[in-house]
Amino acid sequence: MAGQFERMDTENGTGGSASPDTFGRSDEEAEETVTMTPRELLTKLHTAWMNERLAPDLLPPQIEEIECMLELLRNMEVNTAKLEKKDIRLGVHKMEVDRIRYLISSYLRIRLAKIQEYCWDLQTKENTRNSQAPSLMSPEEQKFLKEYIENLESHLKNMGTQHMPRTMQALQPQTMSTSSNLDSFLFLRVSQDSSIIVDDADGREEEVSLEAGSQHIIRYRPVAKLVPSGSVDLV
Amino acid sequence: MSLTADELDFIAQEEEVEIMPKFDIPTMWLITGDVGPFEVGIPIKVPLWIALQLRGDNKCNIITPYWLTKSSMEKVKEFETKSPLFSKMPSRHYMSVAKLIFELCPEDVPEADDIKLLVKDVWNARMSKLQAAIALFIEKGASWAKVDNLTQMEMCAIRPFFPHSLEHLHRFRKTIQAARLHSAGNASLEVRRQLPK
Amino acid sequence: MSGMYGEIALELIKELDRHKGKLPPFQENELRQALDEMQILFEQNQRDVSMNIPGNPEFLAALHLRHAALERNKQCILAYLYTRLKVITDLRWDHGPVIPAEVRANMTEQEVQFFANYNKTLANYMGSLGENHGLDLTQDLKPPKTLMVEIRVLQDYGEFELEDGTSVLLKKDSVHFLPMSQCEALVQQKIVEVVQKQKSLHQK
Repeated sequence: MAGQFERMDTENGTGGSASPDTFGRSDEEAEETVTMTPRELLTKLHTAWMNERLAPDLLPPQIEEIECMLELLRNMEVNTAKLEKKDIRLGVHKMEVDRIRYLISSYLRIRLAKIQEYCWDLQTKENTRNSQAPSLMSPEEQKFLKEYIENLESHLKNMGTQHMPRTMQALQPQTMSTSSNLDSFLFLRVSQDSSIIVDDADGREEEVSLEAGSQHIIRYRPVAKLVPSGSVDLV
Repeated sequence: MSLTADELDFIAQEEEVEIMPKFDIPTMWLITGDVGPFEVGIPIKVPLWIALQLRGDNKCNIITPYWLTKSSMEKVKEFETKSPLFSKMPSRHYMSVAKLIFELCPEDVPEADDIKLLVKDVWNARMSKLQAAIALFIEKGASWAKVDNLTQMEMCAIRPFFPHSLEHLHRFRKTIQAARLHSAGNASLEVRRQLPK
Repeated sequence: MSGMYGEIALELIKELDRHKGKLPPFQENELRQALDEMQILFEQNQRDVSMNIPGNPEFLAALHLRHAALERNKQCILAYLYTRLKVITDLRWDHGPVIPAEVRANMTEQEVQFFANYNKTLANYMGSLGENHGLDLTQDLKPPKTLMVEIRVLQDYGEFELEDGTSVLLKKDSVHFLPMSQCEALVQQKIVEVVQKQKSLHQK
């Protein structure tokens, strides 16, 4: 259990304290404990969703946060069920649960779509990844990718390459593989002062300082690293 | 990649508005934080999605945001049409907020029809300014630009076309540049890397 | 064989282009012909290589041309197969785990098998979410909306009791806000109509 979330105001009224809820990640004793209020968690997921939605590439997964939020939702649904049908608050609670479930589903769907679209490229990245470096995918997403590619390749072999002359039977995914387009232009809002080097098409380099609160339209490549670090948010 | 109208509305509903409760409602312990208690006749600030939900159940009236009035929108419009600059909008999601309120409860907003037109005028003024800015941006061959006061829906209105054409221009210029370097025999880093050692 | 090298394979690609995002009947014949063409090109090259005196420029040119055609056919065939698979994965999201019969009729056995495997992969993934409680990602495709609609009463109905125990008097020409879910039946029976929402402010 990742948290103590008991703020639902059920008939006997457990709520009332004004102190923020906290819940910690208690799975591994060695891991540091992240303490966040549900609201902070929600804000974080909201940002992660928007970034994932607008970024051309797959961003680091927020799987722990997703799992925490799903647990909050489960608790919330249990607690909401205790409210009387006539309770005015019921509709609001339902709407909140629906909104968050949409946020999470959409976020995970966008990731699956990217994993499918860039499957071979991601597989190569995963296979050549330094074992110390974190994966771009959660373990379950990695499993999804592996199964998806197996399914894909077995079909392409059975229907295609297997019937080709013997020297041409290699599948060579690189000829079909697509990768994220890092040269696309996008909009961002700066949350922490940063400085980047932007190179224009003629190879001229220019230092651009990004002040917190400002918004820019810019090529993705020079700012790509600033998105996962939280220095800029895509809008 | 652009956001859909539904997604923009979803995001805009995180904006806070004031409501006037018609019923006493105890505090709600939401994931989003504590909201309430609500007391009849005492205005309270809540996220728009809660306001719409309660309004839909006829449990409150929405208090018109200060900027969604005729006089306020007239001022915004005047500035927007006279100034070459984009003004800072009173809400980052003014279009969605106005739309959602007008859809559900236009009767909560005095002079709603006039305001609707004004909001549309402001939008149009900003869009035509935006088009001029884009033309200039492309002409100058800029590789980035500051767009501080642009709202998300406005960004979406020029997406995906505008960023897409910028990308093509970028590639175009890069190709031309590479060809130029090549023909001049002036090895750029990129070209040099391809030469055998 | 008639026509130019790669012509049939190109037909496959054109077929994809004509039916973007759709799944027309699988072009079994064309695929077979494109594969046959590859076999013929390959055999011709083999024959030439075995007979050829190395370095004969005429042979070399023909060899290169056939090889290019072989590569092109391969590329077109794989693109054809792969693009159809992408449409097939989308089916899962648009129609659920059961393929509509009219689409199914245009698919090969192997494509149906691919769909079944994809289904399983996706189900495994979705089942793993939420500490194995599962989360159905094919639901909640759109953001939730406030589930109230404005309706106008078309004919006198009388008291209409809502789920929350309250009731409204549905009198001809009166206008009410009702939960969408509860007034669908009324709309179907033409007792009420949904008041047309104003067009969204921003032109799409």
